[in-house]
Amino acid sequence: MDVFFAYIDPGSGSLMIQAIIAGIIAAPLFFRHKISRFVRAIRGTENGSVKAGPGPDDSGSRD
Amino acid sequence: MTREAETSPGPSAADTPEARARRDAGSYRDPAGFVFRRDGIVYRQIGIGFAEEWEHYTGSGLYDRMAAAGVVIAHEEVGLELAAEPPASRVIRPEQLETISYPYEWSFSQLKDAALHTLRAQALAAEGGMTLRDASTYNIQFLRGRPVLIDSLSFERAKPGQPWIAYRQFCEHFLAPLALMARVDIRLGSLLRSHIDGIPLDLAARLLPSRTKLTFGLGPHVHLHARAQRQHAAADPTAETRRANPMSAAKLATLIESLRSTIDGLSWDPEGTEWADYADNTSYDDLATRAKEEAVSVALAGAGGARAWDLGANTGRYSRIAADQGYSVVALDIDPAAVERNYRSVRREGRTDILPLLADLTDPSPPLGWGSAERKGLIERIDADVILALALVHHLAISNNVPLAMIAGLFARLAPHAVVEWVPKEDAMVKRLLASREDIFPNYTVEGFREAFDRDFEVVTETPIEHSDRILFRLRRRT
Repeated sequence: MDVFFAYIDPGSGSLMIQAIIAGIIAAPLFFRHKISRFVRAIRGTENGSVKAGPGPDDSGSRD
Repeated sequence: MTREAETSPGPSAADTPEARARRDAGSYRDPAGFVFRRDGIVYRQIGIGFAEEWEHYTGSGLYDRMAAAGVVIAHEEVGLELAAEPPASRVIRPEQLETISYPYEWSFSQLKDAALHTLRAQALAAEGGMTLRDASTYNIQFLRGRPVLIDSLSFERAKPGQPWIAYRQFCEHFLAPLALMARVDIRLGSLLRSHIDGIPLDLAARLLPSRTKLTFGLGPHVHLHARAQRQHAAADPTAETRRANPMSAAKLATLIESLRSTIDGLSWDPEGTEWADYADNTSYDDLATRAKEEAVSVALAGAGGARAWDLGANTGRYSRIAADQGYSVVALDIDPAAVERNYRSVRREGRTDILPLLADLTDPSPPLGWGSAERKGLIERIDADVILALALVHHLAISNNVPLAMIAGLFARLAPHAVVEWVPKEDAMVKRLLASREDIFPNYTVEGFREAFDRDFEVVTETPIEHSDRILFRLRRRT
């Protein structure tokens, strides 16, 4: 971390927790993607004609 | 400045370019540069140490994209001889703002829009290989009705694996107050006035309902975040950061998107507060309202000038009359619901000439921060050519016991022209104010009003408002 440019105190805890929070948030997305792929595979609609599952924009993380 | 310079003939030290420039009292935290004022114009000086970041920001085309999208304030580069405190690597003149407002004067949606705007700036910066190095509410101002990032030095090149430096500041400045306003009480927005560095997350976590711990947004970003701050309070950030899991670009994007959807999910609807229905619910019938609109329009046309401050603007009915006449208007009101409604209308109509702000005239925002000069008081920021005070004086005089002469004295400090509505005791609205208290206001008469205002103002026109018992005064300050 460049000390000069970080003129605000970023907070140790705030730095530490970010990657963990991003991981927690990303996990359901990841699994949702896996599940939807699995469901499509079972239904046999994997080959292109059906719209893809949730993309990266669809975070599903509404409070 | 030395004594010799003071007394020597010819150009004195006070005339040198450096001496005529004054650094803004609120611009001292960031070593990358600072804001100063010279001959009434605001400039920003960029330090030598920040030159490389600046060249990347402007040279990569990122600034052009951001300015074109209205995300950052536009600027032009000026000569280095204008620098306030050489050496400087650059000096820029940003587009000049008419009014500076602070987050504790914004309605819920203004603060929310400012938060989303800040996240948009970070997302655009990330696309250009840079990152937002601070996320202060004070870096956002309202220009032509919309939020804009005014700190031109907010971007630095992103370093691979580095977490978001401004995450804590964003949560304390934006997320915590918005969550408290939406989930606990709208009036908690005033905590921003007592915490100019943002609302501590442990405080926000204590005040929020405990069920928010289980929600997808506030759970991690406020509750878990506050816990992590407590656990790592004594840790060395450099060492801790090195040990922390690296923050990939994808993870950073996920974090920002999660903050965006969390903020987006917070809402507050203006119902049931003091004045929200006032405009639709006054003693006025349509005829009287139309007569008042006409009288206000005529009075404003006579007053002239470019800047109008509408005091007690409610949802902005008369602010619009002023704006339609070409005034640039600031519409103050004490009620968060009225300001919220006004802002939503301004946004929906795409208006660029009305800025709604939350303010209590009996307790206007004081000067705050270092030396009581970092954030200016509201009264100091009022630069009106004309003030509108419609259906206001009776609230100040009767609800707040302010003597009429003191009201005149305040108005005279604010502007050379005033358009003031007199509402007599016989009026239903005044009767309502007096219903629950003793009438200790023998001087609250139109004669008493004339007498009280006579020391500071002369009456230019006096127009009875048809179909009502009210009078509209156009006043000119005595010189």
